[in-house]
Amino acid sequence: MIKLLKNAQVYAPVPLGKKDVLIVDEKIYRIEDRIEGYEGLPDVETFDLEGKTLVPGYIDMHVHITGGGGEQGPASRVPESQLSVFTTNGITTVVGLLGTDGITRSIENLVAKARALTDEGITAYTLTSAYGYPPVTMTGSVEKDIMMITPMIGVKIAVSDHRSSNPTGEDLIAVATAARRAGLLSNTPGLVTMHMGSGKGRLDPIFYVLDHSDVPAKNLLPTHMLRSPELIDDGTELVRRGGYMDCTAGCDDMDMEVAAGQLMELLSRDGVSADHVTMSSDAFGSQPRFDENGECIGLTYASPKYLHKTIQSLVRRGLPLEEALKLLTSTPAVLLGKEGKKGCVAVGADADLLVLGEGLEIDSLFARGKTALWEGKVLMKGRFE
Amino acid sequence: MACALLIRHADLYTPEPMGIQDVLVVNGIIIRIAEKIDENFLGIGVEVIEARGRKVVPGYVDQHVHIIGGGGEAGPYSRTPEVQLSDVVSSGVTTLIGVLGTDGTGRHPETLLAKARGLETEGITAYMLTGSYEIPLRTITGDARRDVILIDKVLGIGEIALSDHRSSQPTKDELKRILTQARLGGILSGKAGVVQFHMGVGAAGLGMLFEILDETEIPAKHFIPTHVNRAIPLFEQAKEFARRGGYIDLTSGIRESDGFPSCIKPSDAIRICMEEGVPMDRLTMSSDGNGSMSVPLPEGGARLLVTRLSSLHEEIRDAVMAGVPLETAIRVCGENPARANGLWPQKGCIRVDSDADMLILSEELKIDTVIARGRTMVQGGEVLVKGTFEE
Repeated sequence: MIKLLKNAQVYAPVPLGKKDVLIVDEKIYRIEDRIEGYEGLPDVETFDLEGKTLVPGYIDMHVHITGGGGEQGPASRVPESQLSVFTTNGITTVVGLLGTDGITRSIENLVAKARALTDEGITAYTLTSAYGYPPVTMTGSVEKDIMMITPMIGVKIAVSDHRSSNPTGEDLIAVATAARRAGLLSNTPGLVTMHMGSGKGRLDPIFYVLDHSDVPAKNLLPTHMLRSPELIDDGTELVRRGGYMDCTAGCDDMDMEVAAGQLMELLSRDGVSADHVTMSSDAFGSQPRFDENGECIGLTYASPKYLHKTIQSLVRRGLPLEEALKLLTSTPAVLLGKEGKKGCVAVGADADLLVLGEGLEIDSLFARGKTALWEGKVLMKGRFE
Repeated sequence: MACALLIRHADLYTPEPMGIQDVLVVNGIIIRIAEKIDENFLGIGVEVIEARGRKVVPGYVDQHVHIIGGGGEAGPYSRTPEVQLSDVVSSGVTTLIGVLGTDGTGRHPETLLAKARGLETEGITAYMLTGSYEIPLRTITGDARRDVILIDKVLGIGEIALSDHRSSQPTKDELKRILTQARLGGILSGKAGVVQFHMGVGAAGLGMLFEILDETEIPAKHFIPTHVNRAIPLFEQAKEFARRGGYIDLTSGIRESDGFPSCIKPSDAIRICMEEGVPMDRLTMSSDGNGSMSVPLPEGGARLLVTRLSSLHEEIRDAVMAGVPLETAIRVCGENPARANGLWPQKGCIRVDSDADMLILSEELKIDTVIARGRTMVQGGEVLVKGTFEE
């Protein structure tokens, strides 16, 4: 129940230097230069992290935890996620959501899976609805879903995509105001996560919401923003207006390097910083490719492993580790309304802690104070793994 | 912010008597129980409460509270107010289950859910049942089974009125369906899936519930008839029902002094059950707090009053005075309702890994200190933590 982590280089994500960290049950209790007097006590496990780096566990804002896909018919439906896929890739918090398919995939199923993952050891939130509009919900409305159902924190919708319902600016205002009200009333973020396609409209519907309503920019999160140079430009404009943008890590090594290059360029732009940009995996969602006629010509599915690989690539490209980490820790925590609790190494925060080896490779992981991974060995598994 | 609390020299009842022990709490969870725990065990910031050998018992689990108010049977002016945090904690209640009552029209389960979440944020632990007295059931999602599965705070269905002029006169088949909805919902969500039945004074009493036990394979643990000390014939049936494996729930606010002339005083009911060998693990007691009661006035007529949660501890204390061992009495509103509602061992006991919900009793067995999820809510009989809008 008590864990003492010794001699770790801590990035909170700001660098704190070499520290000892005391975990009691699920939370961080002390962070000090030296914490003494616990060796040999009953119920105290000590872990020596000499030469290793301790960072917040990753928050993945976009995961198809029940599986996504289906764009080539039923056989292309992606299977659901298993716990160890997250923990072995440094992820301790996920936001589960639906994708293209809001008919054979249900919100009820999503919520049940999120609760199962939370029971198994990580932390999972959910969004209601899917790509389409009007929304599909559990209780009959987006507002009621967010207010009544734990762990619902917002709503998903597709924008500027041939698979979307082509929601208008007014439609988006209706969704965003419902999420906003529900968020306030239930003390949740009331987030509107918008799948951005390659459609001509780009972020226009989002700018319409900002120009024609009082919904704060923080409630609106467009994702897949590295899809095209035009979307990156629109995202830059959104960030400059106080908004946030979510970028999807690549789905293979080559793609991942392309995304890392795009992120480096994006983060160097005036008015853009890792405080307003997040990265997510789109894991277990399909990544279909379409030809110019809109025919699906192949599909694969995304893995969460490219999140950490992207961090490594960004650091290789010269981005300081503390800046790279923000994309997956402190910035998503702001969007989730969990500052000081998730995405940080701080006294009172959840003990979601990722240990990196000397080459910044994933070494160990603690999820809500439990040892999920130790020196590469998976210790916490899903029930049917 | 992380916080730790050490209770020193507790005469500990887990509810089993354990002698003098120290109890260490961190972040709302009991992490260590031992004869001696060093105050510096965690290094810094440990609040110490010196119990000086006084009795420390699990916080009460009150499974029947009208948290958004109830009543209304004499028109709108008779609607009782909602519960305030200090009413709850000063009564020694650290976990409660909110219910609707007669009024399923002017009051809604959505409101109940919001109030439960509010109380939880204020510091205690709160759950709810979906439905009200009436049939068809008033629910959040349109279906009681869905409510149990999809809404974290919904533990079951209730209170369905039976043998009462305010009930919907449900048929046996309707009751079977409701019980199976609760059971299935409970199985699929990992909850108890109970149904609480408000028992009126109608002559049928528990009759239909016995028939359902005979005719179906629905386990008896899903049935919780409440207010069973309302009248002698009902209480007699209830004892038999407990022997068949069902739970029976006394209402601590049903006393002669509270306007129920032909009832059995709850503390007497506990003693009688013990003396007659009724399975004591099936016996629970709840307050019916913030419902309405009608107390006859000496000059004729009656006065409406709101029922209080404090009757719970008054009756526990009276039961102990009447010879019921403390460990037996406190189980009736601790371990037993926690088990019945699937909350044990997180609730209803003092063990490592359990929530730190504890009461320190004075030598006269009055509530001195109340700790809810590791936070001192009441100390020296004074409420330290009040609700958001309380003065």
